[in-house]
Amino acid sequence: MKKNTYILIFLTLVLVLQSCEDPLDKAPLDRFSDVVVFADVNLADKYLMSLYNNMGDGYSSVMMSAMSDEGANKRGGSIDTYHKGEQTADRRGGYNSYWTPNGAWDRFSVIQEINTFLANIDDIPNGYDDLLKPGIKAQTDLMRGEALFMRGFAYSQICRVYGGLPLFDEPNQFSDDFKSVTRATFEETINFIVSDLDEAAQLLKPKSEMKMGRATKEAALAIKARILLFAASDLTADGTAVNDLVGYASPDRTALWTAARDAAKAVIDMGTCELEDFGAPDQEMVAQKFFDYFKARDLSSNETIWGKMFLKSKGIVEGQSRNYPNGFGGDGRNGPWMTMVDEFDMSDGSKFSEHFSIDPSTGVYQNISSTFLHENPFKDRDPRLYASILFDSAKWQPRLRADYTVIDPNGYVNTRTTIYKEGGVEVSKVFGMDTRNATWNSGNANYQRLYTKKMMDDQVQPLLDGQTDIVWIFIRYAEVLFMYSEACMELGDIPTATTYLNMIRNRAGLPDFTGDIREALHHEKKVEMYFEEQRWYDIRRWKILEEAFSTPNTGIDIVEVNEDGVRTTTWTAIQAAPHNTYVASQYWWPISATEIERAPQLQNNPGF
Amino acid sequence: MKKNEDVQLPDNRFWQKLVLIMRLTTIIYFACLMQVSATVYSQATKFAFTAENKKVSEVLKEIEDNSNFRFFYQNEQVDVNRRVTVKANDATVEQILDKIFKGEEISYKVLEDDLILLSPEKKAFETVGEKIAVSQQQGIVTGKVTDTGGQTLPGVTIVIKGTTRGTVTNADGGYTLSNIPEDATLVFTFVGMRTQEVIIGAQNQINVIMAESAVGLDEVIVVGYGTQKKVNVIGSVTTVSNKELTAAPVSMVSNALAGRMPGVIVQQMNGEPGINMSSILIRGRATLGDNSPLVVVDGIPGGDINSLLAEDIESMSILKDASAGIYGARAANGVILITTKRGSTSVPRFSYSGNEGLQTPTMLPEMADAPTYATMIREMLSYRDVPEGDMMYSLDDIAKFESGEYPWTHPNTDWHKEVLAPYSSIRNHNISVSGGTKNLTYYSSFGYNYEEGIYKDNASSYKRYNVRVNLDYKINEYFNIGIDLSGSQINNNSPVFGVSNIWSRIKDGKPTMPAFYPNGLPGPDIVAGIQPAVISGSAPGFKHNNSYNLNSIFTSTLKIPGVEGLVLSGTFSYDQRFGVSKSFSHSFVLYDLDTQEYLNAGNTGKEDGSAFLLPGDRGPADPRLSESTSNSVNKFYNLKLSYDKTIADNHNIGAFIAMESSDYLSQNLSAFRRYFDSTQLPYMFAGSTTDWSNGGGASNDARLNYFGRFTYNYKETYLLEFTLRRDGSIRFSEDSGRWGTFPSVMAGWRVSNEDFWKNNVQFIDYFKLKASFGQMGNDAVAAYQYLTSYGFSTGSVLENPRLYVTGLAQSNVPNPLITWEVANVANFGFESTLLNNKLSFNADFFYERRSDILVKKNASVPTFTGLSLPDENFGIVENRGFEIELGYNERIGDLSYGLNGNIAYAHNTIIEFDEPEALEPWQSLTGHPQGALLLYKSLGIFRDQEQVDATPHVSGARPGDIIIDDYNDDGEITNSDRVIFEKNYVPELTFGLSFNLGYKNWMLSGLVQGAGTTLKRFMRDGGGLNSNYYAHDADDRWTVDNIDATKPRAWQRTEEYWRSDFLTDYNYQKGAYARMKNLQISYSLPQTLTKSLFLKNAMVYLSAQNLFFIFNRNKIQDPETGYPLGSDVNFGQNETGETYPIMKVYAGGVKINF
Repeated sequence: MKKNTYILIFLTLVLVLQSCEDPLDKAPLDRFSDVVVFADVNLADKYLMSLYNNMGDGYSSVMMSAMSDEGANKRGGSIDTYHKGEQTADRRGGYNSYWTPNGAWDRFSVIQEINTFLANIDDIPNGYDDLLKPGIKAQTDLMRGEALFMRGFAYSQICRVYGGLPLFDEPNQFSDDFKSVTRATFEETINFIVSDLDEAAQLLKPKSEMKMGRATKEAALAIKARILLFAASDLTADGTAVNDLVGYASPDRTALWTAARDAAKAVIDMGTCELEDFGAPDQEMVAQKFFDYFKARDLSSNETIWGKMFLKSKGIVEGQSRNYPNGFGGDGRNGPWMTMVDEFDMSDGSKFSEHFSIDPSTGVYQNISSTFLHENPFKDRDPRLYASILFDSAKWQPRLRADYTVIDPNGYVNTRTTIYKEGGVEVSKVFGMDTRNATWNSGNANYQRLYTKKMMDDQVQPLLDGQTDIVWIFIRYAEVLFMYSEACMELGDIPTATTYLNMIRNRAGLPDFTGDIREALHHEKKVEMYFEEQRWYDIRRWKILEEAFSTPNTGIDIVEVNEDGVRTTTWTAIQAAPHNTYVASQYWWPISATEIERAPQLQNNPGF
Repeated sequence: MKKNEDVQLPDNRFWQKLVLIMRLTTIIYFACLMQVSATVYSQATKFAFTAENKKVSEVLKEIEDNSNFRFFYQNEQVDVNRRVTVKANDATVEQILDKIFKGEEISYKVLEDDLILLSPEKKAFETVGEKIAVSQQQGIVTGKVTDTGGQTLPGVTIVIKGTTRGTVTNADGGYTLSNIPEDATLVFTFVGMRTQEVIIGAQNQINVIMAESAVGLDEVIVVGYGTQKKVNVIGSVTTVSNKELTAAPVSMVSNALAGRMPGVIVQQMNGEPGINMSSILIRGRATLGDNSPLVVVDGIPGGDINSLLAEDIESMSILKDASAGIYGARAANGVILITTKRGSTSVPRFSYSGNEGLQTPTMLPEMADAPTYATMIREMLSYRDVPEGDMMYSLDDIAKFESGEYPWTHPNTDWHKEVLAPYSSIRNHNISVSGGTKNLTYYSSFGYNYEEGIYKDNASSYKRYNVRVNLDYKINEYFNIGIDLSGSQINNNSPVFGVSNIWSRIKDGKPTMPAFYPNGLPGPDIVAGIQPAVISGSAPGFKHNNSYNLNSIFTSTLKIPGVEGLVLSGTFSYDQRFGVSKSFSHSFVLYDLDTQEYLNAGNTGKEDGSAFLLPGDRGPADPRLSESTSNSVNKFYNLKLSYDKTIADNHNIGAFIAMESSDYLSQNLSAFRRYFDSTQLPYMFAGSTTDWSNGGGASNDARLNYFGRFTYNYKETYLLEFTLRRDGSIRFSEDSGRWGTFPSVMAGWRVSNEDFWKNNVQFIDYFKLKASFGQMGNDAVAAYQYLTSYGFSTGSVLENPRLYVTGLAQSNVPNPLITWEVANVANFGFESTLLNNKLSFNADFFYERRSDILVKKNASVPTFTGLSLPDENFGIVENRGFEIELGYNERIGDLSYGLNGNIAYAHNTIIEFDEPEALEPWQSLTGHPQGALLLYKSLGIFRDQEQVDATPHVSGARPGDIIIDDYNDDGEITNSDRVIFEKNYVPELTFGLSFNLGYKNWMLSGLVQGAGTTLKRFMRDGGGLNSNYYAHDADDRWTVDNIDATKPRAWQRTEEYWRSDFLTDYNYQKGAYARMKNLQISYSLPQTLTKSLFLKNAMVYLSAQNLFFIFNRNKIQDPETGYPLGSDVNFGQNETGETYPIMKVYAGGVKINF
């Protein structure tokens, strides 16, 4: 008995010794260690994939369009702190998604990730056999170019919101002292970005030689043109900047415009990009193809310089239902003001205001035209209106709600109030299905009674599944032409400016512009690039914020009266939201009070 | 060919193989070797001792001391002063008794509960039940002794007062005494029960119900790694009995805990079957991180309290202070020790208990009805200058809503009523068998719990099966081994749409919309396909969540021969959990009324509109299936060497050293398919390979600990305990921080043992002072934060055709220095009983300083660095409070009653954490409790424009808006006017009061439980065109006709400043409450009846849980609903509580032993 006991004790101890060999000697099972990732070119490339994803997109519930005078994001009748002119550093309003003003500062995380990549990428070839080294080096050089491009892009996005920034070209360490880090001047920031993009352009190959979706030489040059144009503009280069964080101290205007022009020209000269043919002069086809262009699933169009693709099967999707009219099950966000609709020309290229006047006291649209005799202000307009905006009677998609389908079998947007009268007495009144008076989902209607169409997927049904995989375009060739035209114009080369501006108008099926070229360019860009995250930067760099924010925030009220077989329709501009209030501090976004508390050495933007 | 290879096996491989075989062998041995804690005394004990010329009484005492046996005899019948010599070597108790009483004409009988009756041979002991028919004879008394629950009590000693004569009750609790003098008094005594005296008078049948004594001074309670007599416990330890745990008709054990233990804050957050468990905090929140206590089930840390069967639990102890220190790095938030039942030597004992119940929400927010809602919308629109002609509802509409005569066009829908059934069922049944022979004892049980969702069309249910077998083998006098196997299967079904979606949409549901048309068809969706009356059912698909758990524990205890008191014990446990979840969703049909056609056809809203209903598909157009499985294994080893010794009768020494390690591995797989051709076959193969996906992953964990304890007491009067634990965790780096050392020390003084006390303070029967101090740790943070590592992340879609490539991203910035968070806990208290042990009064005071709390320095590292920060050890929180318990138990004749109350308070203060310099000095959260809210202060409602103009206000404010306090008096409302509200969603004050009242076979018992003021946000973003208003907000709201209102005007969602940017305390509801948590009335069937039914005893009862509120400050929802207590809700954030409501349960049940 005792013998057995001792054997058992012995065995117990053996086991215990075994079990305490070291149960703690473990590594994580769901990730790689540092060494592995930057020792293998394929893993490093996957790191790059994460960076591409972190470039984000503009499909957020609050889109950049709402920052400008294009439209609003609020479904309600109020406007936000920024537009009220009440913004302070600790109450900034705004939203935090990708490159929206608040979000942009948070994207320093992307810069940190890129810097980690750049700090390691050049060592990768050293780990390979000599025979393989040159091939690997070629790959890593290209990847370096991609990372530099992304750093340039990210910095340019943040810079256009905040001005001069803390500049980092190496990864920050946990143990670093950040108390001495201050903002570089605007000029230094621009130079930093340009230098990144220049180097990237050197390393990158043209779009046709890069895998679709990756950075390209064209993209590097185009983003460089965009930031140089921004830098050369009035906001930062007219010599009146409050300080060197938000402008050049002593700008050489000609040199700045020349740099911007040359950068745009470099893209044009590559000869690899072209404007998509939308079928002009067939305006109906232009309307269709212009809409279709933004519904692409890939970036193969030669007009698309750089964008982001999605894939439903991998759950890489964007929720789109948020912009749909409420009667189609949408959330009715990010709709345009009526003033945006009024900006679109007539189909013959003449100004809308030459044909319709708005009664200043009642807001009623009155036809004063001699060429277009109908009373409907939405008729016979620039074909791009029909591709960009959903208004009453615009065709959209089949409605899913069965009772709506009966009323509206073809899926036309309906925001009009229909009144039936007999002998002067109202017998019934029907509100539009896409208004706040609708019987269903009314709270999701916007106050403007106008919805966005551009960059929406009419194949998606919010009631079934509101997600889409259409692309987000970061930059397209038309913008390059605008940039080139503008820089030429500023340098006094009006003929070239005219030529390039008309290229865009003509492509849309409109004749050459008439009148003042600056006015024409501002107008044309607002219309062509509606909803494409241009307008807020443009009205700031052109320093026309006060003018832009002084336009009333209008919507449209349409009333149709049927009396004794006669139909009378009136279109009335209504105030859809309180007026904006302009203050000078609206030109630059404030760094948050919380960030200033963390880094008191940071100087905030003027007015904060 | 294989033979060849074997022959040529190289040497080193041979040795490797040998080692492997040895390992396997040891593991098999190990399975038979190890043992957890000696909570149960084996009855088939064998003895080895030598007694030379000792009194029989001394020998019997020796046996009693070394086993669980107790002897009962009458002195005049058994001569125990006779001296005997006995040599026992591996002898059973029977063998020893045979030797002692050889030729003495004394017989013995071993009864249940290890009771041994000694009586003169032939004249069989009067108590042994067979001859009760005697009775009418003068001077004979018979009777039966039961406990307050109606269970018979064997082994109760009954003595005729003033004599040495007496008897003990038999296995059925019966007794007979003869030759009783006139005017005699019987004294009934039993361990753990209050002594009772009964005057016989003319009675010849005396049935007695024994009540538990206020303090079971002889009670043994479970403490960390062992048991202790309650009188010797010097930590702050609270226990709950099986009886308390099974009083509530609920499926989750945690839901039976509220109010039972001082200092344990228990709140049920929601009522959804399967996830309606309560969250538990011990002594409030002491850390900025994870506050959840450690749960230890039968010695294995990390258990799940809610997958256990309540009836299986023998006892539950909560270690609140340094007494938890023996669990070292995981003990800082307190420890919950659970011990399951074990068998004892007896014939098989069956017991069944079960109840069937109905449940219904305790409290549902009342919503505005159709006319009120429509009126509020009109008001809201009028504030936006919408002309009458454009009003969404005309006055005529309101009249129609009010009349209720136009159900087709003007319904008045109560969405709660339409979606919810009045009652849903709940049932709990279980059966157990226990017993054993000398060498093997067993406890085995089977349990079934079922809960049904409350929806009318119900897709929600929770079903759990538990099975358990606890076996104890006595191999020989040195070895005990135990094998515990327990398993549970949980089947949880829920609607495809998330529960929060359903409950928020019920509140969004406009009363002016139909949930169902008068013909029973479902009405339209509230938003994008969501109609709560339909999505709570199975029309959109199904969702199953099943888990299968197997827990096995192998224990062994080895008494080292030759060294008395030295015991080696070990435990090995192997837990496996397998989870399967599956979700299948597809489209479903809703109906819209073609209103226009319906009206055009001359209908008014009263007439049947069935012909005008149009069906439409909602939900995903193509069916979709997601499935995932997970498999996790937790292995645990423990080896312990302990030594217990009493030196010179008075010095009691106990010590042990131990080591422990655990190893966890979890793996999972998941898959997704869509485009199913039919919904008939919801299996992977039937889906399309277009847009499919598969995934999988793994995670691990491990711990290694060394620890020991030393206890000493002198005459059970001066008590001392010292523990030390050294813990290693993979959470921290080997180079720094991995190992932590946690000492604690406790001291106690049982003052009432001292002569000066006995002589002077006689009314206090028992008084013990105790103090403890300990250091404990908390490592509940993400593992591997010391490593630089790269995890898979969302990648990008590239190439043409599109191809997705996953990304890799740096998981974190490493913090190589990361280590344990440390709690320094001091406790001071006393325990006492007064008035002949009828009154008990205990109190504890504690102070805790938690330092090195792991938090991120988000507030001092600028965002522009782009760093995603790791946890760092720098936070400090102080937590202090007290607990008081007061109990009184009394019995007068057939009437017994008891009242036990407890109250606890815990207040924490942040001493240091990473907070940006506050805008204003009064806004700094440091110095306030965690979770404190930073809000504007509301001062009422603007009655008119005049008042608005005269008061500092937010721009755009108008009459009917909330007045915000201009705290800094600068004439405008800015961020600086926000102030701190210390109250938050975690209550600081909690209390419980349990009572029982028994009369003969009847017993009424109950529990009142409650908490002090909390602040919780129950206001929602809703209200307005999209969703309904609470009736609470509609009543006495501001309108032009009611300008002296207490509530603000009608609003649209979050458009008003006081509903978005300027949240005030008006948006929060106070939550102090006291509720009748449990009320039970039971009746024990009379013995005559149970006998005829062949039952040992039986009890029927009615029980109710969450019955009613005694008071409740929350006007909208049940004050317990909301976020889990320990969850890391950011400062000043909202708790909206869009959850499944808490249920009240009415149940009827039986408990039977046979």
